[in-house]
Amino acid sequence: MITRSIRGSLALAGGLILAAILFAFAARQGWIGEDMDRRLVQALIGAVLVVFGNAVGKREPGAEAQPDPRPGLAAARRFFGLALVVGGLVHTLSWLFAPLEIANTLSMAAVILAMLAGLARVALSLRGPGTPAG
Amino acid sequence: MSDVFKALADPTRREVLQRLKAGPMSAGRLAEAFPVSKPTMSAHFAVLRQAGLVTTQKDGNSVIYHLNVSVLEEALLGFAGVFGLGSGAASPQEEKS
Repeated sequence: MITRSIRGSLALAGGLILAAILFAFAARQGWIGEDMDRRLVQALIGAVLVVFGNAVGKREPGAEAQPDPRPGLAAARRFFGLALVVGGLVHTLSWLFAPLEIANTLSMAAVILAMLAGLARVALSLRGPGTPAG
Repeated sequence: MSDVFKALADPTRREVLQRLKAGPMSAGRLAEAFPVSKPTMSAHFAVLRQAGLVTTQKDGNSVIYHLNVSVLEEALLGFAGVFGLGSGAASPQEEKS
């Protein structure tokens, strides 16, 4: 799974850089609008956030489940993933469709809010009493 | 991905996943909630395991099931429930009574 291996993540980062170079080249050649390279790269970044958020609540295939140290931590992880997916979608859509003047602010606000909401949910689940052993 | 769709197509398996949202449960406790035979329930668990929607943890003689879904799979689970995909599966005992 690309989200669980360093090699996969590095390949993804390399792909992003390559895409940015290609979009910049295309913009310089006039094949796409002058702002479109920036929009497309930012949209890709949002898509990566969606892919990684989607996998947050999922364990590696074949991995045996470990007992959760806190009740509700798994649910909090799933909520964190959902928040990241929503944040990533807003990031992508705002860079694709919103005016450039507000796309940056809107996308950053969406991602920051998603992170804060997810972390707050995880923190709340960690504040509960621990699961008794056994 | 077809394994996931196959797993989510059955209402009994969807109900199992819904129950696991509340937290890990033993196979026996999950099976008690459904008016079906143990072999049938085991087959449902096997399909869920094969689709990667649950993970297991051995605890003595019992097997504890944990929900293991991505955001997309959880959304598919919700959609399948809303649109009532699949039919003819057993309903939980408490809903029957």
